[in-house]
Amino acid sequence: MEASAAAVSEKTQSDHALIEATKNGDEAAFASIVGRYKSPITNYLYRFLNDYEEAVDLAQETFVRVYFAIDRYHTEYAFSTYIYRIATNLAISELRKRKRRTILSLTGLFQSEDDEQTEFQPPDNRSRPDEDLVEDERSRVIAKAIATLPAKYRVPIILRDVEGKSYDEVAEILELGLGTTKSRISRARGLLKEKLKHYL
Amino acid sequence: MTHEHKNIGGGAEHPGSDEQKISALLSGLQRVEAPKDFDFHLKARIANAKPADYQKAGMFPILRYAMPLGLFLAVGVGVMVNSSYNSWQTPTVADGSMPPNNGAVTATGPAPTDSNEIVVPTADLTPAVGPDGQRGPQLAGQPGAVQGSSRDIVERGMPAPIVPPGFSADRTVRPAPTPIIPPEFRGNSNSTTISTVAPPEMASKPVALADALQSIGIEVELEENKWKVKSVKGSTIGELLGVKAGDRLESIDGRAVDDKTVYKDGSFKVKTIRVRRGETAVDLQMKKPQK
Repeated sequence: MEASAAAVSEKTQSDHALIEATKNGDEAAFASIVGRYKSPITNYLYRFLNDYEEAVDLAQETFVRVYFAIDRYHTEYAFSTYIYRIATNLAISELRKRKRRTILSLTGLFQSEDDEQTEFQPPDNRSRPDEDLVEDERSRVIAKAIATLPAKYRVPIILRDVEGKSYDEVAEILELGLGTTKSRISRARGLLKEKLKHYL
Repeated sequence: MTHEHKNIGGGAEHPGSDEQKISALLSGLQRVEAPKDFDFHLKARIANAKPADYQKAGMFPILRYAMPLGLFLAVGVGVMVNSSYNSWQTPTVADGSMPPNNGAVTATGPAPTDSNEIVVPTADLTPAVGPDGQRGPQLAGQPGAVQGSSRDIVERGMPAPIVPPGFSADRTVRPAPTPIIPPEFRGNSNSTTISTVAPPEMASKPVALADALQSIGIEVELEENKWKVKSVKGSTIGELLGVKAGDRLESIDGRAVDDKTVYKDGSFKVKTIRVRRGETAVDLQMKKPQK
């Protein structure tokens, strides 16, 4: 326990050192930060949005925001907390945009004589880069199940169970109390249990 | 690793529990990597980005909360001002005596002879000469004078309301007519039958179909001895039924309708309407409003 705490501390110091160097104009330091977090952030966003292209796009947007807000970053909390928080906010915004896109889509064009509205969902036939990712059927079912969770449950459970963050870290990223965080994670697991009972 | 508290907020992770199994399933998901050209695209993105767009982000959180808060305060103040204005308009005094002057504009002039009368001197009003030579208030630009009296009963502190031409100067306040509310809108009816009741003065007389339909917002006209919908008013029962302009009425509750259809005793009920829309017969039924 002490060794892993020391490792975390060392990494945190290392992150802060890189951030300080970036503030001083060291591009290589920023590149090191990117190298360290690009895959975890991409993975996190992929599991949240279930869309690889979108995940990569938002991951890049996350780093752009980190870069331009580097002067405002304070070392009072860990850099990983900071970057995951930015990524989370972007992901939630994207989710809201998706919902608005669905509502404003072609619904109004499809009306029966009784004025009942029929929602029209055009099929997405684009090829997905993540098709190279060989996932078995179980993983696909799990990913689909996660995608059905509301954002307030989806975020903490991905941070906790997929990204392996501690409860404290998840609470810090989401700026929630520890109790609320655990409660939401537990609730998320409960919701997933119904959908994944065949794999339990 | 920080010590994790157990059983707080239901987050128990007992070995073998369903929660732990779910946790294991999720942690077993294959991790994706960022693409190889991630750094390249990121550099291009940063180079093309406008720093000002990202620096404004600091202000946005403040604006995000300040604007709705400002709007909320504005609405709240508006409601308060409006409600105090309305209460100022209708002062009530239990014992019938004159309401106290709470700083409102005081009418000057002859003292009221009756404790419930408040007198506003005619000098305060735009003078006008009525048909019989009497002076009274007048609407600006109105050709005719409006009869009014210096003893018009008005609420203390308020100028005499201007009575438009053609209306009686009698200021007796009549209660507002009770709106006729169909049963299903009263909140305790399971029926989808709509029943409109004719005004009292027509209760004993037969009501023509056109008049009955007009009472539910449907304007009809006769065309080749058949009723054709001319227009449907918004927010009426006619609209809720789904009737549209151009529909030709065929039957109401299974009863064929034509130019001779009347409703006896002033009652009109409709559950379903069959219309012809183009070549198609359509049955329309009132949908129960969502709560």
